[in-house]
Amino acid sequence: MVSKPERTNKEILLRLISLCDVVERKGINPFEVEVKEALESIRQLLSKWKSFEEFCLDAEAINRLSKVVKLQEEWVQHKSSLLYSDPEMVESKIAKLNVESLAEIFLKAWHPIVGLEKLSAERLKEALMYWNSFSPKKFDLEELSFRSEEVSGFTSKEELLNLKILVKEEFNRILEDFWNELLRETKGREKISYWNFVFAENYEEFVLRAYLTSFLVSYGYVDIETNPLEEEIFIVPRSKPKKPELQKRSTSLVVPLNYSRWVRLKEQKQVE
Amino acid sequence: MSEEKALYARKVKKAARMLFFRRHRKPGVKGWELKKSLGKGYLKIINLLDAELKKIGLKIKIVSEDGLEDKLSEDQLEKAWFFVTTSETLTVSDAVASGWRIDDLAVLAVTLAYLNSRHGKASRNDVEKFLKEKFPHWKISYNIDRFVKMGYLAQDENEVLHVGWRTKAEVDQKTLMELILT
Repeated sequence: MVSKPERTNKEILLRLISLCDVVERKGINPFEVEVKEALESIRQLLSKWKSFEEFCLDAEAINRLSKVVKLQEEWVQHKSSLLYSDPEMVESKIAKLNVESLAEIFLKAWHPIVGLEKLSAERLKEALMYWNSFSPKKFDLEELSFRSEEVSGFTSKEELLNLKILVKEEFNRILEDFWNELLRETKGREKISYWNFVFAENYEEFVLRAYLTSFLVSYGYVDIETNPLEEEIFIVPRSKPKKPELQKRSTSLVVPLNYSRWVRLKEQKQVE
Repeated sequence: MSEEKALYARKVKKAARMLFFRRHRKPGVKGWELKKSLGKGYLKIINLLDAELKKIGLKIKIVSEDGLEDKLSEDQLEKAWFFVTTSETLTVSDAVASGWRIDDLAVLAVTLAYLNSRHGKASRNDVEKFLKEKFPHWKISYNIDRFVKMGYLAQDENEVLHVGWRTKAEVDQKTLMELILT
């Protein structure tokens, strides 16, 4: 049975170890730990320990404090270096800068490494050893039977989820963020031109945005309006998504997407 | 050309091959490797090569294991990494032509500025939260993973982000902070 003072003494050490652990893991100010007082407490408790476990706890506390002292040294070194800046000032400056300005600032401070890659005999040897480490059965193609009549043309989202290639929560989160971006862009307006919304400076992102927009439509986050005479397409966001099965009627809208269209849009943007 | 000059010329070419051609998982060469191949006077060879590289807008960068660059001892130099980097800065079109996106550069700049203002490290959660105030949410996690993989950032087992080895080699962090704060 442990007496109350013994439990309290152990608690002092455990609390100290926990505090040192938080300082180390979360990177908070290491001067939050009063090292001098902590060492004095440990010194006073040393004579009270009797069991092996208690001595181990004592050693652990000293070890953690020594790490905190090292962190304090690094903290002072960093603060006295030219890299130190007030965090709030940095945040407020960053908030005022746009993406282009931030990129230009980075480029002024960036000197990338220059190098060449080549295939060497050593790398080939490594690759061969790696390949040979596979068991023959892993790539036993003769046993596979190709059932061409069962091969489907498209992979559905459910199949991707079953294969764990796509994680449902991640995809939903991406879609929600994308929908919120649309809501921000259409604030004060009823609708937005489809091409204006999906356009991006980079062709890959342009395709990705169009792909995500198709899911916004299919899952009822937005409506689509078309003006066939003018060949215009508009996105009308809903304030709340409407489940597809509740929609009265559904039709398919084919939107051709290719590189030349992206180039035309980019040229139009430059003229604007 | 005298024999001595010819010897130096051969060694400078050898040093160039060692520095340009990648031999490890990350680019660059360790000081002891250069010393082993070029001899005790390897630093003189490196200085000669540096002078030649400067003519074409390149330079040799030396970064110790602790991320220090100046006044390195002999022991520190042997353990340090030697890289070839550009001596001049790139333009936006240069960066885009080499596959970088403008917004990705901005994300990296903000991440490094945030870490530097917090003594070089911060929890990944805090960094992502800060980045989400400025950039599309769906890209942030992907970008941070990419920068960790490339070496600009490092992440430990407690999901705390640090400035990575590539940032220490490529980014003049003092200039970055000064430009952001002015």
